[in-house]
Order: sequence, then structure tokens, then C-alpha cells
Amino acid sequence: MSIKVRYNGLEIDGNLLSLFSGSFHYWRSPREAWGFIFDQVKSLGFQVVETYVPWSVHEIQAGDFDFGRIDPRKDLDAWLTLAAQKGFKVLLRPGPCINSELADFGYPERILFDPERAALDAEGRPVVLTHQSSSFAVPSYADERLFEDFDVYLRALAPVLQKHLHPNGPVVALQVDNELGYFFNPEPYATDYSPASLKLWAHFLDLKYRQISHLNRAWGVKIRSFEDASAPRRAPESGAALSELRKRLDWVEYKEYQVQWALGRLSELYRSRGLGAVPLFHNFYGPWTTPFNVADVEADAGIDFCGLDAYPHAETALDVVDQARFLGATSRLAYFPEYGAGSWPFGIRARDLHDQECTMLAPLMGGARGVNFYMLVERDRWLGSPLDNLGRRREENARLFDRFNAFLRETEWAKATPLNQGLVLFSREAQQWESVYGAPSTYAELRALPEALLHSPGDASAFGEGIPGPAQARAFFKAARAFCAGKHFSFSLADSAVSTDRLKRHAFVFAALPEFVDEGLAKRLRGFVEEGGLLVLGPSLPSLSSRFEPLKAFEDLALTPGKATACGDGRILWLKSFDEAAVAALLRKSKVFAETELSDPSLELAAHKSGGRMLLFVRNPHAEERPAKVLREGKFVLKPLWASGKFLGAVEERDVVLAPHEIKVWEVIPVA
Amino acid sequence: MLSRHCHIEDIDPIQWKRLSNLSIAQEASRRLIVTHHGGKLDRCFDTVSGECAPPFAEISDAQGQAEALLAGRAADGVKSVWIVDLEAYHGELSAVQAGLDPLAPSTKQLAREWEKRWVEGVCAVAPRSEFLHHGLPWVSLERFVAKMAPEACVFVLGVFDGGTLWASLFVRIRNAELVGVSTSVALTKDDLRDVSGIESHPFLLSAVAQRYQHPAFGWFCGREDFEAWMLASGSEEKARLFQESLVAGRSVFDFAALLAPAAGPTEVSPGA
Repeated sequence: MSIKVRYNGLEIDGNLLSLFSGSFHYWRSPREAWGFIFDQVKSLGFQVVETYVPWSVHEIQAGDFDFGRIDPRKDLDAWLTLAAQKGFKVLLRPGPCINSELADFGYPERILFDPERAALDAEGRPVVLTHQSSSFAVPSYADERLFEDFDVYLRALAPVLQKHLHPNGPVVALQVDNELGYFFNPEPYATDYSPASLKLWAHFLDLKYRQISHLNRAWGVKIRSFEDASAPRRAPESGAALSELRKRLDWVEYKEYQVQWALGRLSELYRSRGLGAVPLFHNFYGPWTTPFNVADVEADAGIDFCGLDAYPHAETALDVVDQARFLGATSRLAYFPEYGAGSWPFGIRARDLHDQECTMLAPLMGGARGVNFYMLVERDRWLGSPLDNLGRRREENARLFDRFNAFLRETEWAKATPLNQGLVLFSREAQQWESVYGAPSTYAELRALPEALLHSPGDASAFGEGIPGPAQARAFFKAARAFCAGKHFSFSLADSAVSTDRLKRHAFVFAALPEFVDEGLAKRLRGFVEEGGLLVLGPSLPSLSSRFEPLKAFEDLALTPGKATACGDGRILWLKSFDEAAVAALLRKSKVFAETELSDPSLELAAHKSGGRMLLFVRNPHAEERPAKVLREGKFVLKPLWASGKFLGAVEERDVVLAPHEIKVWEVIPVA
Repeated sequence: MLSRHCHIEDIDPIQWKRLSNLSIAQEASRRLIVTHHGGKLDRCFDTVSGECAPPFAEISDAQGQAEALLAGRAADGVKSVWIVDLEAYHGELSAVQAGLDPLAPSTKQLAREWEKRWVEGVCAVAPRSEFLHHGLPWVSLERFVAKMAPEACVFVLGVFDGGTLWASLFVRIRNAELVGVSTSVALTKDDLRDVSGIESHPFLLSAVAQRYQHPAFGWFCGREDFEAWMLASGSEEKARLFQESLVAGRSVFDFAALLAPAAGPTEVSPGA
């Protein structure tokens, strides 16, 4: 492959292409407007565009497709040719799932209306998604028939795409499927109990346990084959034995496996149709916790990079910063395949100009290296894009994108790296354990009932007296994160898949660990400390591996809670609950300080460097204006690089003011 | 009623945000939710303050207890009380969802799903009300459209803040289905030049009728009245507020085009 995935973009024949792009749906704008639209997208500063290639739009009937033969707007070949002529690179998303506010999500109706293929809920009934103006039974992604049918489409589409794949044309990456993961209902017992899924469940158990006797021991049962292993459909009762917990942990882990397996099948199909000459990527719809496992998808599913989608409002931009922090420590390329430019009309509060402005830089603040603005060009069932569906500028909105691209150039963002001193780790095992206590739920319940009622806090009685449960692990993670934010450390977020290399980039790690944890993670954390890192872990000091065998990684250290212990060149502190004073003392003693602080601890900070320049991002989470002092050693000035409103303002010294929900960026310039 | 392929375009983001804010505010009104298993109390949750002390020892008369609890907590701003047997509720919704017809308009499905929740012993809600989706009384609207709307027409909502058009909707209706939604962005500046308040609604109706080549009817009201209507938690309350604003002369419901399309818009005169 002459395209390589780098941390900061795609390296194409030795040249770096940053993945900052925008979405333009060819079939939804008049064909005669395409040229003008491309010119307008270019005038906003973009050189990459993205589009879906919807199966249901092109399929006339099973096996018969219109690629412009009947409807000229569906002439993808012409659109790609025009994109190349205009100097664009292209990201394509052929599915099978599309969404895009299509009534059928991009699947032919014959697929959706076939109850035999539907994912089934815990009661054995089809799972139905009521989506905007339509409803349909969601297809099971464990069912081979979905892939067989999609392959017919892919076979017809492939010749069109192959003409335009790099180096022959502008297409530089393909997205496999779209937001795969149980159609926005990630609750463990919501789905999928279809025959195909239960068969895959048996296969998963076989891969995990290898011998039925091992499963019998783990579950406290006596079954003869993996096919006889029933799938749990409810959370365990309070006080349930460890064997009941383990059964459900296996189910939760299977839910992650099904996603990876399906993506693996699809990426195989893409490559078998000659589409593997460019990188394949995927996008989860937002969450980075179970069942969404970015690291495993990149490792095992034939996906070269996996990103997260986001549509934040001004007050929720921090979620995006955290998504980017996580991607930066986990993915090969920290990328947002869909990032809000406007919004869809139903079900959410529409995003307005204030939302757009206050969230434009949130991905960069967290360290993202690529963003695809969805949608740059408006269309049916979308509002608030910088260009309407004929390409005309919505002036105030469009100017934000002019400024954004100017910011990327001015800061040489392609060279930027975060100055993250800390890493906050929320172990996958803790996430999975927490997930076990969800209630079975249809979409109606998700809409009608608060999320808190669909979960119970869970208990750790299966492990004995006084052992912290999943709620305590979550509380530890939240407190650790709040500590970093309040003390103005720049930090990453990660889960159990974090590599040794990424751990080493940080001075300290706060790890929220339950009683059982992946043995590999435990060893990597131990190795990190021995080489001079600081580790604060809790609420449990894990005594078991994720296979529930004795864990020896920390045994020899004889750790006691609250007392920091030397280990190699570093130190470990075990806390049963996150103690800010103890942690602060550890960092102080180890001479680890935040390089830049703010007088207001509620303001959020992230520092990056780019080509020798230090870039300071500060976000005001409040709905009112906030002043603050910037505190650093030595003399310096702050040169504004991004602020709300039309004017950047003059160079500032220590005193800054942030507008409601504003993200501001300065270059910190030392003064002699 | 909402067509599967309802076309939504020419949406003014500021107007849409105003409408969606009201819809979300209506749906987010304060609720108390009490969950139980076959009468044995489980949890109590206040959508404003979170987990709270269960108000009963057990559930023996879910509907009666829901109404009593609502009466007792109305002064705290609680707008509705749900008493739900979560397990039974899940089973019921699973069956309802599986029975949905994918070709039928989703709003009809959601309304049917809503009614099915009232099954005895599953979910008691006080006050009982008609299905509201995004704050709109779809069943009443559907009845009106089925009865009054010709084969093709456009419904116009014009909400004014003094002389300014604060929010608008142009809803294209065909064969009793909503097939298209847009806002005043669909009209030109010239079309809107004479639109300067509720009294000027005939100009707006005429421009919309011209734009879509179908008879247009609509409701034209002030922002305050509209906000009160959107935030009302039941369809009866909405109907009352609607009538009150008409009778007081603060709003107009012009449906003459439905009765005699060639005659043009005619105001509804209060008390006529």
C-alpha cells in the first residue's frame, strides 16, 4: 500500500495528507451544482471531501444498480472524476450501514423487512429502531446473509471505486460500515439473541476457553458443548456467586467481540473486492467504553484506524476533548470521522452558530489529528451547514470554517503533539463489570426512562467483604480525571489496551482498577513504574487476572493502601478511594508539576507543542464570562490564535478573560 | 402521519432551535418515577434531584397511588408521576415494538406504543394524557388532518415576537401524510417583505400557497402563547390554551383555504 497511516494523517507517496475534510453527498445535490459546490468547499480551505455511497440509493432491485444510468445524480464515477479534477482527495463510506437520516439507513428494504435476519432482544423478539420518521427491525451483524447480500453490491460498486482508488484517483481511504454497535443501544441485554448471534457466541466461548471443562469450572455448570452455553439475559441478582458474574462478563466481552468480528468480515469483503489498496477505517458513534473497543478493532478486525463521532453543543464540548484524549492514547490516528457542522432535525436540540463556534476546536484541544465536518454541504434532513445544498455560503457559519483552516495552517497543526504529563486509565475490566448490571431495554425504554434507572450500581460480594465494586472503580476514574483537570495537568485517557510505548510518554498514570485485571496491563503498568513512572492505582489492588487466576504483578511489593512504595526507579501508590492530598503529595515529592496553571481551577487546559511553539488551549465550561490569571515560571506573553467573535485581540500577559463556553488558544511566547 | 420519506429542507437553524428547545423543555418536565417488581418497591427517582426515598411501602393500586403522589408533589413542580414494573414494562414494550409495521408512519406507531403502556399492572402514569411526541399532540393533529385536509395542502405555523417572525413551519401534507417540512427560508426576501406581525398573516399564507402551489392554512400567534402551548403537558391543556388565545383575539387560525380553496385566506373571528 502506498498510503501509510501516521499519527498525524495519511502519508501518500511520502507526502503527508492531513485528514481535515467535509461531507458532501453527491446524490442529494443537483448534478449541475457539483462543480460550484466543490469550488466553494475549496474556498473554505478544505482539500479533502467525504461522502457515503448508499446501497439503498443505488440498488433498484436485488442485483440491479443505478450508478448514473437512470438518475444522473447517482453517477459516482462522474463525481469522483470531478473531485480529482478540482484537486480533492476523497474519503468514501460505502456501508453497508449508512444512516444519514435515510428512512432505511441505507439498507435495501428487503433486508430490513425480513424478520429472519433481525437482531433479537432478550425476549426473543426483533429489535426495532424507531428512527425519526421510520421504524425497522435492525439486522443482526452476526448473520452471514447480510454480508452475502452486501457483497453483491460491493461487487457491482468495486469497478467504479477501483478506477478512483489511489494512485489511479482521488480516493485515499474507505470506511467500513458506519457506527457499528447495536444501533445506539449498547446495553448488554438489549440484543442480540438471534440464532446467528448465539452461534457466534458459542464460537467466541470456544476461542476463549478452548475446552468445555474450563467453561464449566468458570460458570459452575456442567454442559457438554459450547453450543449448550445459554446466553444471559438479565443482570445477576444481588449477592450472586462469582460464577454468575463470570457468565455475564463473558457475555459483555462477547458483545465487543461481535462488533470486531463483523468489522473483520466486512473488511475482508472490501479487500476481496480489490479495495484494500487504501486504508480502511471505522467510526464508533461516540462512546469509547464497552462494547466499543477501538484498540481491538484496530488490532484484530482489519481496520487500519478507528475514530469516534461527535455532535456536541457548547456546554458538552468537554466530552469531545476527552474523546480526543482517548483516541490520542489508543488509536493509530486520532480522528473524528463525523464531527458536527450543523445537525439533523429530530430528537436533539439543534446546533446553532454559538454551538459551532464553541466546539470547533474541541477535538484539537484533546489532540485530534483529523476531523471530518459532517455536513459541510446541506441536504435533505440537515440544517446549519456552512454551505447550502447548492453550495451557497451561509456567511457567518462559513467564516468559522475559513478561520479553522487558517488556524491549522498558522499553527502547523500537522506537526503538533500534546504535552500530556498524565494518563488517566479506566480499565476495560471495570467498564465490563459495570456494564453487567444494565437492564434489558428496548429503544422505547431508553427514550422514556432516565439512564440511571436502567442500571443498578452492582456489588462485589462475589469477591468477599470490603472489596470495591464497579461503582467505586468508576468513582475513582472520575476523581482521578477531575484531579488532573483541576490541577491543570494536560493528560491522556486510556483503557486496558494502552501500550508500553504510550505509557512511557507520561510522567504519571492514574489507573482505575477493579479486583480483576488483564495480566498484560498489570505487567505493563509494573514496567512503567520500574522505569521511573509514578503510578496511582485503585480502588482495588487487583489480586486476579481477567481469567480469574492469581495475579502476581504486584504481589512482591507488599503494597499497603495510602503508602507510596518505591518500585525500580518509580513509585506506586495504592488508594482505596482517590485521595487528592495524597496524590498531590506524591507528585510534589517526585517534582512533577503542571507547567502552566490557571487561577481558576474550573477552567480546562490542554497544552500542545508545534514546531517549537507552545500552544495553550483553555476552555470556559460556564455559561458566564470568566477571568483568570495564567501562571507559569518566567516572563511570557500570550499571542491569541483563536477566540470567539470576529477579532482575535491584542497580545495578552497573565490576565485573560473567556466568554461563555469559549475555547481560546494562545501561543505562549517567552520573553527575555 | 409523518411520512417515512418526509423531506426536510430549507430549515432556518435559529427558528428550528427555538422550536426544538421548547419541545425538549416539554419532554424534560420534572417527573417522579417509582419502579417495582410485582408490587414490591424497588427505587424512586426524581428527574431533577435523582434517587429519592420511596414514597410507599408497596404498590397496591398503581394508578391511584400515581395520582395521589402527583397531587401531593405538584407544588414542587412535579408534572407527572410514573409507577412502573420494570420487568413487565420491558416485556410489554418488547411485544409492542416487535409488532410495529415498518411501512406505517412512525408517529402512528409511537402513538400506538404509547397507548399500550397503560396495560394494567405494567405502567401507571398520572396525569393520563394523549400521546405527545416532541411536545406535539399527534393523535389530535392526525384526526384534524384526516378530517379537514384536502388531498394536498400546506399547514403554516407563524409565531411572531412583535413584528418579527420568531419561528415558522411550512408542513406539506399529501393524502393525510406529512411529506415535507421547511421554514421561512424557503421563501424569498420579497415574499416576506410584508410579513410584519399576526395581522399580516394573509401575505404569508399567500406566499406559501404560491411557493408550493397548494392551498395553505395556518395558525398565527404570538411567542408567549406559542411557548405556553408547547410547554403544556397534556393535549387537553393545549386545546384550552389554543382556544383561549383565539377567543382573546391574540391569535388566528385561518383555515378558509381548506373549505373553499379558491376563496383565499379568511380569518377566524372569535365568537363567530
